Amino acid sequence: MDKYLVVGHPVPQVDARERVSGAAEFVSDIRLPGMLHGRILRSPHPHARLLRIDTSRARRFPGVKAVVTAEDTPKIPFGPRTDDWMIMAVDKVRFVGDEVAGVAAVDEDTAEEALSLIEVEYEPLLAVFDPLEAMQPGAPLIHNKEKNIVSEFDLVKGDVDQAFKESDVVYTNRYYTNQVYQAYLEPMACVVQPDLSGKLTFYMATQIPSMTRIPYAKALGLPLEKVRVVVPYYGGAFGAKMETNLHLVAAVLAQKTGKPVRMVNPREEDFMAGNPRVPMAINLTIGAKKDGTLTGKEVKVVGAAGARAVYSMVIVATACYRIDSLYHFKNLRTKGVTAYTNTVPTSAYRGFGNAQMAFAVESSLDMIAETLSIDPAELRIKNGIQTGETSIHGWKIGSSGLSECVRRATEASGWKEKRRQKQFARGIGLACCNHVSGNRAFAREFDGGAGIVRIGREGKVLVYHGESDMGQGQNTVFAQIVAEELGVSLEQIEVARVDTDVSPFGLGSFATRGTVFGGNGVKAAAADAKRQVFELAAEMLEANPADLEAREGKIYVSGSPDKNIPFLKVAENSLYKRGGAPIIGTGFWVPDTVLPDPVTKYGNISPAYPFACQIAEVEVDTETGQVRVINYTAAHDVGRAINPQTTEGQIQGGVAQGVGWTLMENMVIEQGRILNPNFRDYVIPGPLDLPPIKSILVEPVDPKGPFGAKGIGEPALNPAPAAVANAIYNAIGVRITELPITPEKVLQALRRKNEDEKILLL
Amino acid sequence: MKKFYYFEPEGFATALALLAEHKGRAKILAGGTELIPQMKRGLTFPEVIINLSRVPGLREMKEGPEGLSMGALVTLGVLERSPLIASRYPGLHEAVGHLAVPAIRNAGTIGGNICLDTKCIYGDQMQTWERAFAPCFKRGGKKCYVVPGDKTCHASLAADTIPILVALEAKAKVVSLKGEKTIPVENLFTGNGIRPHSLSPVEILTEIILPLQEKGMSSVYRRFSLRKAIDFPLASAAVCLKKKEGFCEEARVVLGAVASRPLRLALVEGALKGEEIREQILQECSRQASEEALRISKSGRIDSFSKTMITCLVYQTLKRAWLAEG
Repeated sequence: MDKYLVVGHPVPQVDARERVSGAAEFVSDIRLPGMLHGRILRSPHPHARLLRIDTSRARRFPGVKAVVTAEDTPKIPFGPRTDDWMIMAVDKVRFVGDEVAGVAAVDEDTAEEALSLIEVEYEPLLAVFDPLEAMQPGAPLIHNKEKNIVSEFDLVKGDVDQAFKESDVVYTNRYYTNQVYQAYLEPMACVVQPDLSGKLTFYMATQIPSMTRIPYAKALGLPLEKVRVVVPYYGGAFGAKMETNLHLVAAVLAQKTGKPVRMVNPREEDFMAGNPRVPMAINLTIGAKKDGTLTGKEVKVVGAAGARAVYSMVIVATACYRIDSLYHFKNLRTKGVTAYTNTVPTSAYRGFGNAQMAFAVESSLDMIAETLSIDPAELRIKNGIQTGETSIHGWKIGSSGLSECVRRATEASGWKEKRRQKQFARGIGLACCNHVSGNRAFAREFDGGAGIVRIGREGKVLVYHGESDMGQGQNTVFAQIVAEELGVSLEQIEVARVDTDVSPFGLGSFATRGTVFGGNGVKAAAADAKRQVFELAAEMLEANPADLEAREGKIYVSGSPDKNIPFLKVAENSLYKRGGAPIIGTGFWVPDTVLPDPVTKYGNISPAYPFACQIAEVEVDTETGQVRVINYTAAHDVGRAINPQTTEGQIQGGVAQGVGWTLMENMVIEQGRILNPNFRDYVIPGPLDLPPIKSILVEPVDPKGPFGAKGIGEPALNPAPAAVANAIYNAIGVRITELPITPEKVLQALRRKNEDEKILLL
Repeated sequence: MKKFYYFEPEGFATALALLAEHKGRAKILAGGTELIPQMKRGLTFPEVIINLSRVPGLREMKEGPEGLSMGALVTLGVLERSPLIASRYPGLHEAVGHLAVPAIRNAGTIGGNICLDTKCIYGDQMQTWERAFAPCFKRGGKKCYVVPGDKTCHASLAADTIPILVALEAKAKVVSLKGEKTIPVENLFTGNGIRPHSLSPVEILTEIILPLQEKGMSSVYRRFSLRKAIDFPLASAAVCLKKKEGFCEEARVVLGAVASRPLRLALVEGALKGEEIREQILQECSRQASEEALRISKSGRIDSFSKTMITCLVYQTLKRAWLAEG
């Protein structure tokens, strides 16, 4: 480990001081001269024809500067994947929360009051909320798509029927994963600033600063270069902060008024019109031999897209086949359907469908292990994918720490003893997951990462990347990578905020790709800068550039430690010698990923695949049904932790979110209305509800990741629901297959179990 | 948030005069941890806010021959840290200790908590809704979504201090321009989810008096919530027992959060009175509690899970009160 001076060391985030002192300017803190405040009028109906909108009273209201509707937009259908979006509703509204009109006023209260002055006449239409009902004949059509189907996924490998015939156990169950909200601290927000040329600068929270320009430019009927995105500090995203009409309504208001317009979702509206997790019904059958060898898997997934597709169909596809590269299932039959419903559009939330499927598969494997009297940990190790293998879908596993994760998590948690000596109503459960570090199938145009490293006169190094730090510590990791590569101290590095006028075209922060892609990108840029530094230093030291090394702020001649020159001197000299030009290194990294075949899905979607094993210990109150997670162990194959501190932070956060999802979080929806759109009624866990979480970093050092690193964002959450559900099963012998696992469900299941036992005794 | 007028009167006379002048359009601010969020969410729009923080005496606690009196503006945090409350009224100590989080307890007051409005996920909705869905009773409409078809509002009165104050038989001092009156805390509640308090718009709750605790008395409070902190209870129970040589001389059992008022379970109290306390009677009483709650509240809010919660809570509180030293 000592060979690296910065990488691999647990350092606080580079912007920790700004964040904790309140100095960091988040999106909602931005105030520009002449700025107006925008609000959106949203549909109260789940499905209705839009007959008439009268904005005249609102426009006359003192302090109101503009009121806009679809009539003020080019009415070009757009969307990240399917053209089923409009900036504001045209002819029809499709969910409670659909954007109908926008107001810009001198302050937020005025804008809010003006909303109540807009008169809208609706003709309510029959609405449909359940994806299975939406696909029935005669169901109301939401987008004039046959049976409301957004997309279907079909995949067959081998012969599942034969495999099941030859199996000693075939286990089938039906699972349901509910709709949950990402609960980031800062709601969706932006300030859009227009200029005289018609260019719009979006100061906004987005995980995909460069990519999002494409649908936004299309929607606004602007050439791409007229859309500039700047990413300030922002308060979390977890998958939700990609495209949103909030930004576009603000843009239309900015165009109309010629002033910067600030738009921040009130929390309620963020629930109503955000991007919650895709709820899924999963029918799963898995077969296995007596010795625990898996033989085949058949799965049917139905996902609810809500009223716009966003990324739901890609998420359902991910649920359908990503987990096939975790274990050797050998034979597969998979069907996935995504259907429109008159509910809030659903999209990405940490796990991207793989979390939903991990709940189902890992719950079923627990039951198979029990039937076969095999230790669930052994079952995972026996079937788990190993380093050097190519999975059934062509994924090249450069490194797999799966078995080591299982071994170390079981050792650290006292798994064996606790399974053996069971206490009443106490249980311990285990679940694993795989994931990706970047998804070739998500951004189809290209794959890769890039960076720019600028070395100023004082030796200050400014790093530009095109990804997105939403608080997880990406900037810190990039700074560490560049510092290591240049042989300078971390304090010398500054990471520039992403500005699409300047920054490289990064694909963004999703699919757990930031560290591997952005990291390799800035590493390549730093290497390019170092090459230039060495050229100048070689001249100054009268040495050959190939013989130089950079370490601890100095450039050395290899083998002659006394022959050196400070990095600062070289930086200074470079300006004097080159008419003031700073050293600018640029670099890129293109992995050998392969876009999956549209039919067979064969490809290699990621350069590096992370793995994990999590173990939950629970105590169940059999009188009230309340479940308390009392201990938690999370072992993660992260390749190499560039920053163990931020990596552990990600693990702790992922577990907290996962435990919350499993035991309490749920968007209660009735007739398309969300009944609990606030943090009083939508309950997320607090510190008192969480167990001590022991993080274990497994570091097999991946051949592709920067310094061997893989991603951690999503795998930190994926196994949690199944780990907790399996622990509950171990505690009280009931299998809950529908999230969230509320006290009520636990009690019902216990009651049923008692009845079953009585009937057996008859 | 809508605009409003704001006053900080320095005495009762001015405060009462302001209330009379703005009858029905004014709200009293006694900490603001609930009122301000409710206003921000558009659930209440007072035209006038009267902050009582400058009225003298409202933050005092004093012991007298009748018992311990607490000004309505004594914060929950002060009660939580009071050794007197912890030793003599452990049930109240538990109730304030479970309430919200320390920061909110340091601002929120006992008077404010007692006057907390009822809650309901249907009633506490944004105005956006009302343009498409008929409002419920709580929002001025004519239906209840909790118990469809029912003729009354079923919003829940979930303030943690209410059940234990009722169980302790605390008294409330109320002032108006007509003078001062002292009534049992129990009488502050109407049972009507829309207007759960019996105080008129021109009255101010000024003081809570906790009666002296005789030897052998013990009080206990427990709640059930999904999250441990900052979460209103789904159900709660408060118990006061007076014990003598293994017998129960007197029992008071009160439920919270399962109806629009605190439910005092007279049958359960009667069943315990004079009995020798044994495990069996505690179990019987806790089962009886959920039946009695359902019957006296006629609340469709009490479903089978609520009944389970009530049974568990009553059993646990009774048992702890029985085992407690008094």
